Formats: sequence, structure tokens, C-alpha cells
Amino acid sequence: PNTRDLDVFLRKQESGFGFRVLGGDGPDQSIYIGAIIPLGAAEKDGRLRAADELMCIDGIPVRGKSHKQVLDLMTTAARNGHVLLTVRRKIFCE
Amino acid sequence: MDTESQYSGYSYKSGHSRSSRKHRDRRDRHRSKSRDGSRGDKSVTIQAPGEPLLDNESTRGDERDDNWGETTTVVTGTSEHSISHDDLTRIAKDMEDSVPLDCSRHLGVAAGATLALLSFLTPLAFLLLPPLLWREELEPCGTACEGLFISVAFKLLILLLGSWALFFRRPKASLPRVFVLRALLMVLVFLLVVSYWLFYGVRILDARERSYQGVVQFAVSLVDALLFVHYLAVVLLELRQLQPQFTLKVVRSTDGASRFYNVGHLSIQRVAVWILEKYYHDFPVYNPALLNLPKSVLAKKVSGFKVYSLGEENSTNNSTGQSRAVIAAAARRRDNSHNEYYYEEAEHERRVRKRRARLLLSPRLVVAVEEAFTHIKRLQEEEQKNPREVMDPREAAQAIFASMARAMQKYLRTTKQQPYHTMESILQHLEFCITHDMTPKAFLERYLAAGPTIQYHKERWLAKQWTLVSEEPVTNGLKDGIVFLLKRQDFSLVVSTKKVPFFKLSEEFVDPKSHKFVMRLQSETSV
Repeated sequence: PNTRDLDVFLRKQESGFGFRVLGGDGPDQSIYIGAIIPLGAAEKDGRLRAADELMCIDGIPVRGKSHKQVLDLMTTAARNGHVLLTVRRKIFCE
Repeated sequence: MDTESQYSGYSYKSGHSRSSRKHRDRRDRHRSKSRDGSRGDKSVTIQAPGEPLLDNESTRGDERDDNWGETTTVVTGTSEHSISHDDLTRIAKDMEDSVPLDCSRHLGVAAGATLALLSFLTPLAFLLLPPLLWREELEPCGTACEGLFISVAFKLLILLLGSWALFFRRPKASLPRVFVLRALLMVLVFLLVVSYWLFYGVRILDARERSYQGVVQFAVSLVDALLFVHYLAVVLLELRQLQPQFTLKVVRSTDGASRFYNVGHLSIQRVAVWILEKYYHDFPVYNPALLNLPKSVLAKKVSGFKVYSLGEENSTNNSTGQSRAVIAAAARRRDNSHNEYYYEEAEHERRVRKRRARLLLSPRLVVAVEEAFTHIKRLQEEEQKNPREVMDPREAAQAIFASMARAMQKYLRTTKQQPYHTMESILQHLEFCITHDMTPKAFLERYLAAGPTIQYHKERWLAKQWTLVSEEPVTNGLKDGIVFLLKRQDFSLVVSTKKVPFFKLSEEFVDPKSHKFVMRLQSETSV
């Protein structure tokens, strides 16, 4: 399957960025986007999808990082109020 | 034709056969080839008994009465008073293939039978002779002695039943060499009986033994010994070969059909018989018409090359250079001929495919047969019908045969099966299916796929004469790596042996309580 990388810039809302982070259980595992929370910032933006592989947060690669480290990065981004996410999506040829 | 001119050279060897010179065709070629079989390797002939030496296996693709679907008259090429070609070759074969082995086989059976009878009657003789010869001097038989009579009677009965079960069977094949184990057993029985008679003659008859109980016990011991010999026979002849020790791969030389079998310890000739039994019901029937090799390719032969060297001194270089040149030239020539072969093969495939697509054979045949079957139905007991309308299965078969004959014939011709099914055989099969309430599909399963050889009409396709070609003596036991051949006229079965590996089985104990699982927690946090 082919993959496509795309950059998603999100602005933080009151409730947060509006998506769930999945993964980070093992040393060499990828981080994935879990569910997209309805009416959240991610859903409003529209580009992010569940099951996208999260490659970078604000330019920092997150593959292989632990769940806690990813949360720390997101907290920093939340303090800034915006975040640039780089995600990789699998494109299945029809 | 290419083929005939190529192969007619072989038939000059069969000098004393009139017909081979008159009729140069494939049948003669096969016959002379089978006689050349006894060359360097030991090749011996296995022959199934009970049937005349008439070998009717026909491998010709064209038959005289192949138009039965379209015409009702049978076309004959000869007049009533002349012998047809088939008869001539059959007679010639009879004269040439008369084998003197029948005498030796019957001799063996006769020897075994007399030995068995002798050994059976001996205990009775032992018991009966003293009262006949010296009744006055004999001690009266007490209780224990009379009890032994019952024991002798029952043991003899058991011996009789056991021998009947084990030995009284129609022989499956006549083996080329002596069946070693059976001969061994016969010698053992003979020695046993002879030694008992010797002892009896010297110590009992001559000495006029008084104690009748002793004589009866002696007779009982002989019967026991015979029962043990019977046990030995069961173990040697029947049980030893059951546990699989070797895996055999049997490949048919012409089309590569292969099977694997497991056998135990057997001699090579017994294995050959066993394989032949399996061959007849496992392998699809040998159909030379399906080989599909274009004749021009078969006839072509790569002739040898002669290489002339111009002024070379070093002899070793010469030979390797020569052989390399020969191989290169042969390879180039082979490549060219292969190209032609591929073209021909592709052309043939295209033709067959076109023909098949045009006729839509198999579904058409199925439809025709189904429709034919709807024309008749079984008469129920309660129904009353005009006696003229009631038919027996044969007439019913003939009635519906006409409607599907044409489709059937077309199908058989295209799938090149028509030598195997004559009109009579199809009618018989139809009658059989109607009698047993079989559906059209069940009727057709015989024709849609090539079945094993034993399915076809016995006299035509069951060849009795097989030749066993082996480098080892055929009474040797099987060993790892032995290869032998079972030859027929047009094909042969190549059998190779491999020992079943020795398995090292080790044990691992798993405590049922040790199966435990945890959830794999995937942390999911909202950000």
C-alpha cells in the first residue's frame, strides 16, 4: 500500500485539540491517531483521520517514543495554543 | 509416414514371425521391443495366472467401428472367410509367447499340498497304528489319555481352519523366482514331519511301546509343533510386511503420473506384485493419444557429430575440445528443434481449444444425457401397464441410447477416449445405471474423467504380462535406494525406494494451569 504524508496545523480549542493519541507501548512502535472527538478542533479542521500514523509533532519525530513523552510534547504544544502534526496515511489502490 | 519409416528397422529382429514382415505397424514394433528386454539387467517376467496368454491390449488410436454413433451397420474390411489382421497377430503372439512356466508353478502347488496333507494325517497315523498293530500288548487308555484325544481333535480342527484361511487362496501372480519364505516354511514342515516319523518308527513301532498315553502325548506334541509352524507362517508371510519401512515412488515413464506408497519388508518380486495391484486402481488409465507429442518431433533424432581436428598435437586438449564442440553443436540443434516443437504444440493447443469451444462438449453431453434419462421411469408395483410397454433394463437402455449417442461419440472422440469405450460397453453401463436408479451425473462420471485401469473392460485393458527389470536379484529384500522397473510394451513404471526415516520423538509436558493471558493495554489519551 502506498502512503501519503501530510501536514496538519491545528489550533487549540477550549476542550483541547480534539483527538486521541494511541500507542507508545513499546520502544519501536508507531504512534497513531485514535478517535477524532466530535466537534473538536481536529474534526473542524477536517484533514486529520483516525488511524493516521503520527510522524512528527511540531517537527519533532515521535516514532518509538513512549506514550508519556508524546503527551509531554502535546502539553507543550497546548501551552503554545497550536500544533503542527505530520501524519502518514495509507492509500489503498482501487 | 515419418514414424513408420523410422521404426520399421526394429522389426527385422523378429525373424521367425511371418506376420511381422507382412504387417509393419506399431504392434510388431512393441512385440520385438518386449523381447529385447532381457539384455544386461536381470529381467524376469511376472505373469498373472488363470488367464490365457492372449494379450489384447490395444494401443492404437483408430478403431474400425468408431462410427457407431452415426451409422448402424458395422463396417468390416475383410470377408467372412479371411482372417482379419487382429486374428493374425493374435495367433502369432500365441505361438511365440508360449511360456513353460506353468508347469513349475503347478509343481510347487502340488508339492505344498501333498506336504500339508501328509503333515495333517501324520498325527492320526500315530494314534491309529499302535491299536492296529499290537492291540493286545497295549495298556488301556486311562482318563488323561482320553482327554488328550479331545485336545488332538480340536487342535487338528484349528490347524485345518488356519491352513484354509492362510494358504487356500488363488495365487495372485506367478513370480519369476522361488518365493523364498514359503519354500523355507515347506522345508521346515518337511523336516519336522520326517524327524517325528523317524523317532516314531524307531522308538515306538520297532520297540512296540506299551504305554499308549505316551504315544498320544507324542502325537499331541506333533500337532502343537505344527500349530507353531502355522504361527510362524502367519508372521513371516503376512505380518512382517505390514509395518511400513520403505516409501516407494512409482512413476509412469510416459506421462509422469506418480504415486507414493508405504511398504514393509518384502522381497523385490513381492513388492512388484503389490505395486501392480495398486497400479490398477490408483493410476489413471494409460492413454497414448493424450501424450500429444507431434509426430515430427518424435521422429527427429539428434545424430552424432564427428569432429575433425586439423593439425593438433596435444591429445588431451583434443578430446575435451572435441567433446565441447559436440555438446555445443548438439545444444544448438536441440534449441532449434525445440522452437519447432513449441510452435507445433501451440498450434495443436489452439486447434483443440477451438474445437472444444465450438462444440461446447461437456455441458452439451450432460444436457443430452439428462434429457435422455427423462424419457424413462421405473414402473411402480401398483401401476398397471400394457405388457408391451414394459421393458427390461436392457431394452430401456437401448431405447434412450439413440438420443445421446451422437453427443457421447463426439465427446469421446475429442477427449481421445474412444478406444476405451465401445458402444456395447456404454450400453452395458447405461443398463447398469438405470437398474440402480442412478442419476445422469452418476452415469457420466465414468466418461468425464479418466479412471483407473481396472474400471475398463477387463479383457481389453488388463495386461497380464509384466516384466520386472532389476539390477539386484529379485529375491533380495528391499533396501534403501533400490530402483527397479516394471515394463509393459509401451510404457514402464519406474519404482524407487527410500527408507522411512527414524523419528526421534521427545516429550514436552505442558501444565494446563500454565495457560495465562493478559490484555495488551493500548494507552489512549485525549489531547
